[in-house]
Amino acid sequence: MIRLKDITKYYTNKFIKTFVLRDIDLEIKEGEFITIMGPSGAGKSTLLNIIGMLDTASEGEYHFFDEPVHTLNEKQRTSLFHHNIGFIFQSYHLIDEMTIYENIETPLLYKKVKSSERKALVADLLDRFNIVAKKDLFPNQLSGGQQQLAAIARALIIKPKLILADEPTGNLNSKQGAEIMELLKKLNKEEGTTIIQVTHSEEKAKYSDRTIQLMDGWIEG
Amino acid sequence: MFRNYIKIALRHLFREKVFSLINITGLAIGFACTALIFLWVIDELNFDDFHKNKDQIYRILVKAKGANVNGIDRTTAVTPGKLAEAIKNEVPEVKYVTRNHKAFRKPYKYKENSFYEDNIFLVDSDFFKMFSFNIVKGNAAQPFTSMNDIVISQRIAKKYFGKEDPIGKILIGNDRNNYTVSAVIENMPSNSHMQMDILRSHMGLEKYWKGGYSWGNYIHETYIMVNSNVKPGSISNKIEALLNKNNRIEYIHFYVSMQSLSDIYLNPDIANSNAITSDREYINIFSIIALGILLIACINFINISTANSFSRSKEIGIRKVLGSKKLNLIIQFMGEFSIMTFIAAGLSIILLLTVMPYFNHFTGKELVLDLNFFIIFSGIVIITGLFGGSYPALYLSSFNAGRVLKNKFNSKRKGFSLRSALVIFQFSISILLIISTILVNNQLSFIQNKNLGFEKSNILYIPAKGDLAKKFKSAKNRFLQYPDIKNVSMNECPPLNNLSGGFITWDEHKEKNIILRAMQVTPDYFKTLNIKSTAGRLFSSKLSSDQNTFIINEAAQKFLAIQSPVGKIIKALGREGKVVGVVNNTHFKSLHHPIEPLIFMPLSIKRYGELDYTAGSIIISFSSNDISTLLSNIKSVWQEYNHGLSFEYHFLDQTIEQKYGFEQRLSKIFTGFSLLAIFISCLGLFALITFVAVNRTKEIGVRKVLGASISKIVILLSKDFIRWTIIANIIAWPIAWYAMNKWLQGFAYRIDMTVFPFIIAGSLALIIALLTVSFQTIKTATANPVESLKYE
Repeated sequence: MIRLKDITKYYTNKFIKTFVLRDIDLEIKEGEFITIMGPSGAGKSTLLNIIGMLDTASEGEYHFFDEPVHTLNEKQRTSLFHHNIGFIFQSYHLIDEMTIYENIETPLLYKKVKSSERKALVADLLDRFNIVAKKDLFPNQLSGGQQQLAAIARALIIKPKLILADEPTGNLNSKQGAEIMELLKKLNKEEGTTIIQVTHSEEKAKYSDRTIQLMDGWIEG
Repeated sequence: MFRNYIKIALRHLFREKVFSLINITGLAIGFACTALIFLWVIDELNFDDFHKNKDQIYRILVKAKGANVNGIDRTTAVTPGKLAEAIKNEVPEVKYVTRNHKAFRKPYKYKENSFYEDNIFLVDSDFFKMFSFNIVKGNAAQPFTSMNDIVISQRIAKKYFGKEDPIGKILIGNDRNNYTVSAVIENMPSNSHMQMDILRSHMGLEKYWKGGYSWGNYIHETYIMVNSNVKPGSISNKIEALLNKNNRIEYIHFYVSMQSLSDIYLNPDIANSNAITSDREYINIFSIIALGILLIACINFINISTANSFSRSKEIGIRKVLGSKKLNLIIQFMGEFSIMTFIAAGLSIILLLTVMPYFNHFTGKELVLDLNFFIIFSGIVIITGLFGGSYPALYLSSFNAGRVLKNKFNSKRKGFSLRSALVIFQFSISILLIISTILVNNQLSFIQNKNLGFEKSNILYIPAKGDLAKKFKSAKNRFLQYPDIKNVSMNECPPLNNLSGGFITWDEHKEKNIILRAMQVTPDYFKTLNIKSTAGRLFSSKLSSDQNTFIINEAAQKFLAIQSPVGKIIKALGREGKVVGVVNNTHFKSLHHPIEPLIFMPLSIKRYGELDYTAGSIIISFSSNDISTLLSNIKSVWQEYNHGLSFEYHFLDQTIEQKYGFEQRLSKIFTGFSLLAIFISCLGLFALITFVAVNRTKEIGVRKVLGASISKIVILLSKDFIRWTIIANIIAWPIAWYAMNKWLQGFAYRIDMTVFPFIIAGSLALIIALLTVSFQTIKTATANPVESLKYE
C-alpha cells in the first residue's frame, strides 16, 4: 500500500543543507500496525508528515496505493489524503471554537456530505466512543482522554484506510493511554485499518506488529 | 458549509472582542468619512442639475481685449442691458432671454415686520420659463404683469406675512416703493448657483434709469435658453457681432463666450458675477482626504488580521489536515472579513445618520441618504471588504500545515516588512494632515491679523438714506457731539465695495483704454478709516474747489506709471481735475486678490439724496467700550433725521470676517479629519503592538531571565515603531510642502512656509506613537518571566 524509496528531506539555510531524513526505503502492507521509534530529532514526525502528504520529500519516490504522490500537485495530494488518511496528534488539535459535535463533523463538510448523512455518521461515532453526552461541549471543557477520543472519532469519520498517529498517548496518563492503545488495536484487528504510530515508549510499541527504528534520519535495522 | 463558516466567524469575533472592536470601529469611521465626503462631492458636481432645460441654458460672458482694466484681463459676466432684447429680436435660435441684476441691500416692510434684505434680483419674465423654480402660489403663468409686481420666496412669505396669504398684498420696499406680491416661488434649493429671495421686473427700473440700460453700461448678467439641438458656438459669433456693432469703442473689441449652466458653479474666476461659486480644487482635496482615511482604516484591517494569524494558525493547520483546500480557507476567511465589513458598514450608517444634521448645517447643504447613495455605498463597502480581506485571506491560507502543527510556526519575516510598510503609510497620511491643519490655521490667522491698510476695528456703518444723507453736513456735526464718536464720513456704496469705474486719460495718455475703479466719498473718508497719505494731501472739506479733485492709491500710481502724480490734471468719469494726493494701499477685497488700483473722488452734494439706491453707507469710527450706549446715541440721531425709516448697522470687522467664512470652515474640516485619521492610526498601532508583545512573550521572558532590564525591553519593543514614524515623516514632508505651497498660491498675500509646522507635526506623531505603544510595552516588560516561559 505504501512504498517509500530513497526518501530524503533536507532544509537549506544559506547553502548549508540540514538533513532530516536520508534515503528512507520503506514498504507497508495494508492492514499492518507499524510503530516508528527513535530519539528526539530523529525525523519521526517528518516521516509521518511525508507519508500523510502534509509535507513533501526533497528527493525520492513515494507511492500510495500505486499513486506516485511525489509527482502530484497540492490539490491532487489533498484530494488523495483526505479521502484515505486520518490523523491523530499528541496534542489532539481540536478546534477550540467548535463543539465536539462540530469538530467531528468537519471532515465531512470538506467532503461535501449531505446534512442527514452527516448527522447519522457523527451520531454513530459519538455512540461508539461513548461521548454522546459531551457532544455540545467545547474541547477545553473535556479531560485529555476525552479530547483524544473525540480527535480519534474525527479521524475515523471518513472511514480512512490509513491512520497516522503522532504520539497519541503522549499527553495522557497511563490508564487513559492504555485505553487509547486498546482502541487502536481493536480498529486494526477488526476493521483492517492500517495504522502507523510514532512513539517514544517501548510499552506502546508492543501493541504494534512491527517496529522501525529511526536514528539521525536513517533507518536502523 | 457556509453556516459552519458563519458560526465560526461570529464565535471568533466574540472571542477576540478587543481586536474585533478596533477593526470594526476603525472601518466604520472610515466608511462614514468617505460617505460624507462622497455626498459632498456629488452635491458640488451636481449643482443646478434640477433644471429641466439645463442643457439648453447658457450665461453670456464677455472679455474685453484692448482695454486695460486695472491690468487684469478677466472674463466678466456683465453685459449691457440692451443686449437681451437685441438677441431676442435678431437671433432666432434663442428661445428665451433674461437679464439678471442683483439689487443693493434694501429694507422691506409689511405691517410691523421690517428687515433689510440682501438677495434681491431683477429679472425678466422669461426667467420663470427657463429655470425650474416652481411658483407655488399666485400667478404662475405671468408673474410680472405690471412693473410693481414682486415675486417672493416661501422664506420671505413666512417672514413677513406669517400664515397670511401674501398674494395681492403690498410689500413696501426701501421705505417708499409699494410692491404688489403677484406670486410666491419655492425656496431655491441649496445646490443652486442662484439664491434669490425677492424677484422684481426690470420694467420699472428701465423706465427711470436710461443710463443703466444703455449699450455702454455693463451691469446686467444675460442668460439665454436656446432651442434644442442648437450648438452654442453657432450663436456666440452672432451675439459677439451684435455687441461690438452697438458698442463701438476705439481700441477695444469684445469677445463673447457662452457658459453652460452646469459650468457656472465651479468657475469662481468670472468677474462681476452674482453666481455663488466654489473652487474645484476643494473637490480634489476632499476626495483625496476621503480616500486617505479609508485607506488607513483598510490598512488597520489588513494589519490586525495578519498579525492575528498566530492565534489562527493552529486552526488553519488542522483544517488543512482535515482536507481543506487552499480555496476553502480563502473563502472561509473572506467570509469572516466580509462579516466584519458588513457590521462596520451598519455601524457607519448609524454614525452617518447621527452626524448628517450637523454636517448639513456646517456646510450649508441639504444632503440626504437616498437610494443612489445606498447603491454606491454598498459598492464601496463590497470593494473595501474584498480589497481589505483578500491579502489576509491569502496570507493565512498559505500556512504549511505540518510546520504549524508542530508549533514551529513563526510569523514570516516577509509579513513584517509589508506590515511596517502599511503602518508607515498610515502615519504618513496622518502627518500630512497635521501639517496641513497647522498651515491652514496659520494662513487663516495671518489673514485675520494682517494690516489691511485701514482701520477695521471700532468702525461701524449705517445706511445713507433719507434726510440723514441729504443733510449729511449737519447730521455729521450732530453725531460728533457725542464723545464716543470720533469721525463720520459717507460712501456711495457699502464701505469696502466700489461702484464706479471708467476711462482715465491725461495729457501724456489720450487713448481711452485704461479703466480704473473709482470710489466717491466725502472728504473725511480717509480720516475715518485711518488711511494715510503718502504724497500730497487728503481732501479738505473746507476747500470748495476740492469738489473737482482726485486722489489715487499707490497701486494706481504704479499702474498708471505716472512719476509724480500730485498736481497732474486728469480726466475721469466725466470730471476733469488735479490729483491732490496719493494714499496707501488698502485690502478692500479679500486677501485672495491683489490690491486694486483705485481712484477716489469727492461725492457731489447733488447725489447725497440718492445714495440709498446704491446702498450708500455712513461710516462711523468710535472709541468706546460701551457699545450699547454708542448704538443708542447713533439711533437717536437716526430717529431725528429719519424717523420711521428702517434702520440697521454693521460692524466693519465682522463684515470682513465673513469674507473668510470658507477658510474658517476649511480649517475646522482639516482639523476634524486630522484627528480622525490619527485616531484610526492609533487604534491600529495599539492593536499591532499588542500582537507583537504577545508574539514575543517567550523571547522577552528569556531575555529577562538573562538579565535584561525593563527599560531595555521597552526600547526593544518600541524600536521598530519609532523607526517607522521617522520614515513616515520623511515621506510626508515633501508631499505636504508641495501640496500646501500650491494651496497658498491661491492667496495673493500669504505666509512663508517655515520648518516649524513640519517639526511640530513630526514630533506630535512620534509622541502619539510612543504613548500608544507604551502602555502595552511596559505591561509586557514588567510581566513575570515565569508566566511567559510556561507556554512551552
